[in-house]
Amino acid sequence: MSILGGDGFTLPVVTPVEVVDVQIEFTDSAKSAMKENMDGDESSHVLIISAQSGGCSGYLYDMKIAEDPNDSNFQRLDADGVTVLVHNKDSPLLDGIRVDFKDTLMGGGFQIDNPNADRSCGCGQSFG
Amino acid sequence: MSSESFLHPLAEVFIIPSSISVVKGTDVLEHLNRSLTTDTTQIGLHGKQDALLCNANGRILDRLTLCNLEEQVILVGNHGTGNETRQQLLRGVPWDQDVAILDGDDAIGHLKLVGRAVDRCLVGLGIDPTDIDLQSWTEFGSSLISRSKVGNSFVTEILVPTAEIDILVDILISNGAKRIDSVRWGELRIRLGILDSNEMNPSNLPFELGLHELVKLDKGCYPGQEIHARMDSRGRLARTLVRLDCKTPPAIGKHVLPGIGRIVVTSNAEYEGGGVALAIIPNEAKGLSELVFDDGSTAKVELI
Repeated sequence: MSILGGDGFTLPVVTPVEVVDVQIEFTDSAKSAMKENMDGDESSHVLIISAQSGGCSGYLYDMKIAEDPNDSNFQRLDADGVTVLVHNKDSPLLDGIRVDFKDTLMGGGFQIDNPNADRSCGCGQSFG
Repeated sequence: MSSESFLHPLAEVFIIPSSISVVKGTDVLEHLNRSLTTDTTQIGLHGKQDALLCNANGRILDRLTLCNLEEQVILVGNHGTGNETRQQLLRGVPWDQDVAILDGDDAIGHLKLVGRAVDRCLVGLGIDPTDIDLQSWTEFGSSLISRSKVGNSFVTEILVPTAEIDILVDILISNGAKRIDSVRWGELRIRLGILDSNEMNPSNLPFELGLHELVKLDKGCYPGQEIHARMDSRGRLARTLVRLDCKTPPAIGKHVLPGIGRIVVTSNAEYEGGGVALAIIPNEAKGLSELVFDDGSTAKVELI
């Protein structure tokens, strides 16, 4: 028997999540930047906005363009022809966020304003 | 291995209440790295690493010792913190990462051995003590053995399936070890400077407890990093953990000392001929050789 081969382990721990219908506000500059980054792949690709542990304040935002996973665990939103997905487990954290895009050399890029965040760190990428 | 006169000439063994979790999946080390205060990405197979889980205010939620078993990492945490630690780690698993967390509190037991000749007991079990080091876990049957350095002493740690823990303890006893209770362990850990959840909890910051080695500010962001970095750059601490050596240990809790201010006694123990305590005192007071309590009793201050 190995150290992990004995009895007494539980099934994987789960965290109950209260799924909410996600609403996201995209500014015009964010929509424009999203379209530009999709580079014409809007029919096959989606923008996935998610939250993961880390950052100074507990959670980090993540945005990635990926092939549509066609997974019912995601909520689908439309932003001027760009499909945006948010996973149900992230829905309480990301509902109500406002996504902006700042075209500046210093501190530019997508910016997220999150009404659910009690705190955010200086770089703006982490919230908690 | 250690010369402290208060240690058993061979070894004392204590079944230490701990929280055990197993984090599984291909992305385990990366996931832990985003949450813990030390860099977990470079832990090798059977590697051992200590880390803290902190909140966004930089305060300690748990202290974890990791054991990497390739896509399965055992986390040994403070007693009583396992559920919150598991939930904390689980909440941040990204949708596209393969990470699952199991509760192993009832599956794995945790032994600590301290003494002046622990290795002689281990040899009796057929273990080659030279195989045991500080940075890794050595397999012995279904158990894992490692060692930690605390001050000038070493503590040997064994993780063992719960079903086998009594058998292993019996074998250690038959090889000269003495089983001790929580009272004796409480004394030993304070005298050796081993911290537990009495100290490592959300009331305290790592630097106040001298846990600088468990905070790697160059590893990237983790919850609490901003606070830790600020404290590091300022280079000043408001409070410091010390050991108090006295005739009768002060009670656990807050005390206000004339001319010093508030101190917090986190742990205490009595032994034949004296008492010891761990206390968090104002940093300016750490240079004092003695504290005088309001009842007139005194305690010698020892830096840990």
